Amino acid sequence: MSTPLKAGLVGCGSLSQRGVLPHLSLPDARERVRLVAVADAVEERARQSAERFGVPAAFTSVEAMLAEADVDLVLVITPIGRHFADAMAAIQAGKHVYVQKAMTTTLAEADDLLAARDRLGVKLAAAPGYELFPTTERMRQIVGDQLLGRVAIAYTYTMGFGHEHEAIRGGTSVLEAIDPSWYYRAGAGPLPDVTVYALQLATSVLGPVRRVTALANKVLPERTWRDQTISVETEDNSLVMMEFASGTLGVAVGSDCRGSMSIPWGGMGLYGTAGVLEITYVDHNSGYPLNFRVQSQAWNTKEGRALHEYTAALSDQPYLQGEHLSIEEPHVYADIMELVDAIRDDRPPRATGEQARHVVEIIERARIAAQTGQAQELTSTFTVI
Amino acid sequence: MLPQAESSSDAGDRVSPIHLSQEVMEKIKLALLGCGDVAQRDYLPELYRLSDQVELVAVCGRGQERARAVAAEYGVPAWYTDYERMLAESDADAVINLTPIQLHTQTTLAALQAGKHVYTEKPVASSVADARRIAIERAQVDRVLVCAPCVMLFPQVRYAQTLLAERALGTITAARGYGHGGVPPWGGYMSDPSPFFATGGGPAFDMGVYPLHALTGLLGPAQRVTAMTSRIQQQFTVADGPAAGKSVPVEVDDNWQLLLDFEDGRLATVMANNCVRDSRAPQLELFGLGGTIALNLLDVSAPVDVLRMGAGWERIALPRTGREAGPDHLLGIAHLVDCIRHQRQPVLSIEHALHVVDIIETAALSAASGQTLRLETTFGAYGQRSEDR
Repeated sequence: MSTPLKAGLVGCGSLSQRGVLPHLSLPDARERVRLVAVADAVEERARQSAERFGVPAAFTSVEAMLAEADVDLVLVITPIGRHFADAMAAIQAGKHVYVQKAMTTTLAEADDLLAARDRLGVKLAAAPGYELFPTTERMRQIVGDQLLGRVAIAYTYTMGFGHEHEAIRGGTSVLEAIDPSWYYRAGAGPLPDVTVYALQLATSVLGPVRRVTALANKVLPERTWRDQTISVETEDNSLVMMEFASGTLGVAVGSDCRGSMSIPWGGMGLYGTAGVLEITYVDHNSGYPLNFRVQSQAWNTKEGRALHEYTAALSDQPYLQGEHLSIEEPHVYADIMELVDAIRDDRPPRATGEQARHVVEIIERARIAAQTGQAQELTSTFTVI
Repeated sequence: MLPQAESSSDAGDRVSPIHLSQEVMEKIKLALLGCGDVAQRDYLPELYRLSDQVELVAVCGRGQERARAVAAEYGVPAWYTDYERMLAESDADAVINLTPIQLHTQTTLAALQAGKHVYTEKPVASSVADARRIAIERAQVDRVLVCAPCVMLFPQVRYAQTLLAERALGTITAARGYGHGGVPPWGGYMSDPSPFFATGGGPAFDMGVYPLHALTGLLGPAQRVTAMTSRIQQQFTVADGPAAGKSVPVEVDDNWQLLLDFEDGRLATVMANNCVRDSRAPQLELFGLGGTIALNLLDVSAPVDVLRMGAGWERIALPRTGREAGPDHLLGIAHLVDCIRHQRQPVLSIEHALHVVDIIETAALSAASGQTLRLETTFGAYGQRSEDR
C-alpha cells in the first residue's frame, strides 16, 4: 500500500460533523487519505473538531491552513457563498480540490475555477457525484437505448424545510450549535443546495440544457433558529423549467413544503414516446436513487407493457461498505474517495467540474429568468465521462 | 374526453350528489349535439341517472347512421345531422354540446342564439376571443351556460376544497398538475381522433384543462404564466377503431410544460401532453407547509391521499357519485339542470373556463417568446357552491 494522500478540510459545520469527519476517520479511508488539517472560521470549532477526530492541526482559514500544513488535497465543505474563494485559494496553492455543491454561485466563478485548475494542473471534483452510483449509468443506458423512445419530459423534485431544522443544530456544544443563517443569504438557498441534486441527476441522465426559465418567490421571509431570527434574502420556493439540448422539456421543483405522493425526494420521472421511467425509491442519506421502474411500450399500440423494476443497494457503491453504510452523507464520502483514487491513478475524477459548472449556470440563469420573466439561453455544456 | 379508468372494486356506500327537489316538475328537455366517443362512453349510458329530471328529445350527429343508431338505442324521438335544423325545430330547453373542439364556438353560439341553455364540453373555445364572444352572447340572451370539465364538483376536489378552507395543509406553496394519458387513440376509441391533434385542439385544451380547472378553482385565478412546448410526434397512424389506418398530422405542440404564479408565494407546474404513457403520479398535488394532498381528477371513485405534518400518508375514501369509475360528467349535467330550475348562475362558469383558455393561450405565447406573461382574465372564487346558497 502506498502512502496515504494528505488532505485538509475547510468548513467544520454540520455536513462535516455528521458525515465527512466520521467517514474519513474509519480505517479503510485512512489507508488512502489522511486528514492532516481542518479549518473553520470558528476557532474553537476547528480545534475541537481536530481533537475529536484525531486531526493533528486546526486553523481558522483556508489561507492559514495552506500556508502551514502540508496537504495534497483540500476538501471545501464551507457554506455555498464561500466555495469559490476557498477552492480558488487551494488551487492557486497547487492543491487538488473537492468542492461541495453548488460548486460556485455564478458561471463566471466556475469558469475562473476550472481555468485555474487547468493552468495549475490539479484535479477538481464537484458534488454531487451521481456518476459514482450505478443506477445513474443504468438510467442513461435505458435512455440511450431508446427504451423510452424519445424522452419528452423530465420531472424532478426536491422539497425541504431548511437546515435550521437539522437535529445536530439543536445541541449546545460548539460542534453542534452551528449557525445555519448562511443558507438564507443571497446566492444560497434551496436552489444551489437541494435543487442542485435534481439538476445534477437530470443532466447526468439526459445531458446538457440549452434554455431555462423559472418562477421563484419567498414563502417565509423569516426563519427561526434557537432564539435567533434569520432574515431570508434568497428565494425559498422555485420552479425551474428547462429545455435540454436533446429537446426534452424538464421541470425541477424546489419548494419549501411537505412531500409528494408521486416522486420521492430527489427522484425523477422520465416520460417518452415509448415508455416511462420513474424513480420509486431514493436513499434518504445519500440521495442515490435505489429503485426505479421502467414501462416500455411502442407508441400507439395495444400491446402489453413490459415492466422492469431496477433495484440497487447503497453497498453497490464500492466505497460504501461496512460502517460507512450507517454514517450520514455517504455520497459525499464516495465523492471524496473517488477523487482520491483519481489523484492516485492520475485520471480525471468522474464528478466533473464541467457538469457542476453547467448546473451552476442553470441555477444562475434560472434566477435571472425568474427576475426578468425572460427565458435564458445557456452557454456552457459538458460531456459525461 | 377520457379513457375510462380501471374500475375500483370496493363497493362503498353510494350517495348520489344529485340532490334535486322532490316536487314533481316538468322534465327539462335536452338535445344532444355530437354522437361521438364521449357521448357514447360518458354521457348517454349515464343519463338514466337523471331520468326523473331530464328527457332527451333530440340527438344530432354528422353521420346519419350514427345519429339514427344512437336515437334508436336510447329511445330518442328525433335525430338530426344538421344542428341548425335541430336548433330550429326542437323544443329542447338545453343543448349538451359534445362536438369536436373546433366546433365548440359556433355550435355554442348558435344554441344560445336559439334561446337554449347550454352545457359545453371543454374547452369552451380554443381562443380567448371566441370565449369572450360566447360570454357576451350568454349575457345577452340570459341563458344558463355550464362549462366542462366539472372537476370542481368531483368528490376529490370538494374534499381538497374543504382541507384548504380548514387550512389543514398550512400555507400552500406549490402545486403540480398532470394532464396526460387522455388523448385518443386508445383502444376502443369510437371516433376519428384527428380533431384532438388539429389546430385549435392539442393536449392543453384536451387534458390540461382538468388540472387547470381544479388548480384555479382551488387556488383562485393565476396571475402569471411561463411555458415551454415541443412537438414530439409529427404524425401517427390510428391503430384501431373506425379511423384505423388513417394518418393523423399533429398540428399542435403535443408536449406542454407550464409554470403558474398564483402570487402570495404559490407556484404551480402543470404538464399537458400526448406523450406520457403512464405515471404513478396523481393528476393533482397541492403542497403546503403543513402537508400535501394528492388527488385523482379522472376517476370519481378514487380515494385521496393526504400527508399531514408529523403523520404519514393517509388514504381517505370519499362518498361515491353515481358513476362506478372514471370521470363523472353527469355532475355537470345535473348542475345545468339545477341552475335552469332555480335560475342560478353556474359555478362551472364561462368566466372560469375563459380564464383557463386564457392560461393556455398565454402559455402558447410565452412558449414562443420565452417571456413570462401576465394573465388578464379573472373569475369569482369558488367559496360558495350554488346548492349551498
